[in-house]
This record gives sequence, C-alpha cells and structure tokens, in this order.
Amino acid sequence: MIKVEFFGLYRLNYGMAEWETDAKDINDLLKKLHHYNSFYTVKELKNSIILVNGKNFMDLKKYRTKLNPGDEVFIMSPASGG
Amino acid sequence: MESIEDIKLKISDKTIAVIGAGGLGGYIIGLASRLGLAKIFVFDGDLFSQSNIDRQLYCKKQTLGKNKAEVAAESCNEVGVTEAIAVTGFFNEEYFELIKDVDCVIDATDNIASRLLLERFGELYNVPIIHGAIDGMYGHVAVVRPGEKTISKLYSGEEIKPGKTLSFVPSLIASIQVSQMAKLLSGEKTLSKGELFIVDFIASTTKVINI
Repeated sequence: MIKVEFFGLYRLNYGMAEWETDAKDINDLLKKLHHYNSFYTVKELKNSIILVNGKNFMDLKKYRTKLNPGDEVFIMSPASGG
Repeated sequence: MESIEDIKLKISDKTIAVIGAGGLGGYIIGLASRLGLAKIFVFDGDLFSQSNIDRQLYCKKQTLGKNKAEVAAESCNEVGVTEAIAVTGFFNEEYFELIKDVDCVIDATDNIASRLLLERFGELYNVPIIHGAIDGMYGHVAVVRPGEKTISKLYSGEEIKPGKTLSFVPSLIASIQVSQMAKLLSGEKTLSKGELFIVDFIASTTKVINI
C-alpha cells in the first residue's frame, strides 16, 4: 500500500489526514483519489504540490513518477490566500 | 543568536515593502510597526468590506469602504516607531522602481499571479521575499532569496478556489513571516532554500518540508 498524507484545503475538504491505496504512478493515484472522493476533479488535483518520499515530483517524472508499496506521498493544495 | 537589542539595532535602518494589507498583511504591518524599522511601504488597491471583518486586523466599522493600505499605514504611523507609506494601487511592474532599494519584501498577496510577479521583482532587483499563504485551516511560510525560485516551484499549476479562513490563521502565519524578516535582516539563521514551514490548524501540527 502507498501512504498518502494530505495538507492544506485537502485535509479540510476530504475530512481526513491520511489515506492508503495502491497506485502504479501519480497519475493513477490522483484518479483513484477522485474516484474515492469526488470533491476535487483530477484536473484540479493536478495543481497540487506533491512529494514522493520527500522529493518534489516535479524533480522526478511528474505524473509518471512510479509508486511502489511502502512509498509515502504528500499531497498539498496550492494555498494562495492572504 | 544575537541579543534582542542587537536584532532591534540591526533592523533599525532597514526598509521593507508589504504587498497586501488584508488578512496576512494587516497582521504583518501590526507586528512590523512595533519593530522600529526605518520604513515600510504598504501596498493595497482594495477597500475594506464587511466580508473582511472576520479576519483582517484593520477592518472595523469605522474603516469599511476605506483603502486597506491607507488604514494600515495610518495605524503604523500612530504607533510612531516605524514610518509607513501607503501605496493605494495593486502591486504591478510600474511599482518595481519605487521599491527597488528595499531590503526585503513580505508577500501578503492573495493570488498566484501576484506571487509569481513578486518573485520576478526579487530576481530582478536582488531582493529577498518572505512568502506566506493561507487557505482554510492551513498556512505556510518560505524565505525566497534571489535565484532560489521557491515560489515558481510551489505554484506550477492553476489556482484552486480558496477556502474560508478564521482570524487565527493569518495572524500566526503573519507572525512567522515577520520573525523570518527580522531574522533575515539582522543576519540570523532563517528557513533555508526550498524549506516550507507549514502549519496545520486541524491537527495542531507544524512541519518543515523541502520542496
């Protein structure tokens, strides 16, 4: 299983801090998340700040970053209020 | 760390700009006004409205309909230890020249486009940006020195509709931003390149992540 931790608006709107799932890559993970809870569309989720095992997914293979059991994924909404 | 008096002395000749005088900006100016800086430029083109009253420090019955930057600057000048200059327009490229010599800019804007513009200003004029943002029960802070481009890394996508927030969220995030500004300008250790200090008010936790 992959351990997902939510921050920002996601934690508030999903009503959960953590979630576990299986997914082959980030793209697959976002689709599964939308299927599990449809509050955000996949397109909206693609604006997220995502870390995989502490590394920014933009520095990896972005949405094609492979996921393996035991990986920790951190997903944060792009907070922009002030 | 140096003594409190040393920090106060070192920042006493510094000038900063605070971009936005609403939620974050109001508290930032409230705190910075008591630090004894040389000067603060306060930017905001917006007027206070009833919907701001639940979280914006300078929004009250008497200030409804007034320009946010003017009200905040006036309050700072009333404290009397830091000179404040109000700029009653929304920050844009035309203001770059006006603040090109400031020692630091504090980001209290409320949208991604303005934050990317601030980062560009910092890159062009070699000015560090103290970035802060809030949403719902969450907030974060980063110190962005020229060349680091943390803001671009954070906001590579589009905006998500912001969530409602409560007064204690901007006040704490503003406080962390002002602490980073004072430490940066006095030569103390601050958040490093790429570090994002995040505060989650739901679980009552803080964390520093590297983006």
